[in-house]
Amino acid sequence: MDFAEWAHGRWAGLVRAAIVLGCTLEEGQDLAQTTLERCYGSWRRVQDAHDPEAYVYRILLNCHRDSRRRRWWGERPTDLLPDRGVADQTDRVDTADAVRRALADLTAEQRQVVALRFYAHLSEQQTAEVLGVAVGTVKSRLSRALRRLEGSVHLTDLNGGH
Amino acid sequence: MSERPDTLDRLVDALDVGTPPVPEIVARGSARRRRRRRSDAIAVTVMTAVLVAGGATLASRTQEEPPTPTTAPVTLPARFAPAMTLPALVGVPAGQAAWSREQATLWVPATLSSCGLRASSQRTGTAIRIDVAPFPAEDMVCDSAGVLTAVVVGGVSELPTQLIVSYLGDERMRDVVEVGPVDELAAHPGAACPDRLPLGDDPDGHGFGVTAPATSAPRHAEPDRAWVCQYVARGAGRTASGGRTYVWTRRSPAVPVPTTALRGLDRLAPFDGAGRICTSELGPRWMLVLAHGTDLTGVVIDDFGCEDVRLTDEPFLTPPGEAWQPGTVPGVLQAPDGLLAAIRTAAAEGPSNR
Repeated sequence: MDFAEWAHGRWAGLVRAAIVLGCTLEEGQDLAQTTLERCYGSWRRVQDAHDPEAYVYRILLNCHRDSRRRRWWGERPTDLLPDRGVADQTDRVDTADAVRRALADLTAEQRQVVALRFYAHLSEQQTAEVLGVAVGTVKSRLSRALRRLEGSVHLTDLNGGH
Repeated sequence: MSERPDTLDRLVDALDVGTPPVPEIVARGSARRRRRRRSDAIAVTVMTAVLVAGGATLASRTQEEPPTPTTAPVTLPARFAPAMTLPALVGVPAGQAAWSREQATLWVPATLSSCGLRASSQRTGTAIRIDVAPFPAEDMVCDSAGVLTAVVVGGVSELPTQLIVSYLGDERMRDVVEVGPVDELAAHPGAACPDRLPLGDDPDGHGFGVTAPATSAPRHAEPDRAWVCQYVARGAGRTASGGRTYVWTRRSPAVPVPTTALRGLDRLAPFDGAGRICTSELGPRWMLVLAHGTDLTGVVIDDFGCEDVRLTDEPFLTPPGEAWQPGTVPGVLQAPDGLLAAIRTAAAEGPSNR
């Protein structure tokens, strides 16, 4: 399994899951990058894992917890200055912000379940293993999360009131 | 089952998340891998927060002051569980070191950083120097009042005469540990015998101790003082198969014994079971505690069966039959005729002490 190819295939899911967990777009990208760095550092272990997908998202969750514990995101020294020209990022930032507001009513546990189940595309069993809870707990958290989301004012507003 | 709201779905799918910076990920992941290899390569010294389980304390740590030998030895079991953590580490008080001959390992508690410690050791003659510094932790926030950790130095088969611990390479933060003999008498003020005989490997659950015969006889030295205590078996529980398990608890205070009454100790010999028939009833056991200066040796004699004798070089710590200090031997010995009777008599006649 080629790491670069594998990382490309996981990137979008990791960033989206991070945003659903409550990160901004930039934080989500940082979190996904840190997760993939750890995977590269333990590449053989990832490959040998019983369930590599669940293993990767468990790393993502651990990184997320660590970052919340630290309360800030460490600066990364880099050889390249990020002063290259980029397109207007307003739209993508707005969209990520809208997702975050829509999910603001969920608890941290409910966010985790939604992120893993719908945006990491893990099964209920895999989600339960990553979170270290019973499958029944995953189901009940997901059910409560979806009830809240269905009644979310933010989502209604974002949907043009329809 | 309900599905995620369509709006949320579209929002998340609409996110432009970019592409992974694979070269940077690979570079940083490689650096992480190298760091881990480097830390694995520190073979002699290891930082750990989980390993220590008490120890035969050798010395006090002093801060640029004259060394003071410890008076409070603690137990270092023959085995330790990697899962043992802070409560076990507390067994080695701050400012003291612990050493295990069996594991040839020295433990030095140290609290410097929640991110862990990096330590290196250097031997000069019979002294060991340990340099401690926080582990380089990129992207980590370390708390100086962090977790209790211990520096573990392997390959220490003999006691160092001096232990020097320096922190952050700063000579002003240097601790000098003079290693001295443990004063066993002072370590247990008010008691010559333990309340309970130490337990070691005890597969039968009866608390007798090892059953293998000693391979040589001990070398006897005339003690300065001696005491005798009687121990009786008390039920401690049940084995998985329903059998009873015992511990041996002291029945009465220690009785001082005139050393002249202990003739026969110099004739202890490896147990020879050939041709001997022993009864299987259970009775009391005796522990003779012999003081050579401040060093104690225990002689445990069964008052039943084959009247087995087992030695302990630290009566409060070392299980009978597991002695290793010079002059003592591990395994089962047999008492010469008359020794058990002399002990019974001395215990009955001697005045109560301590």
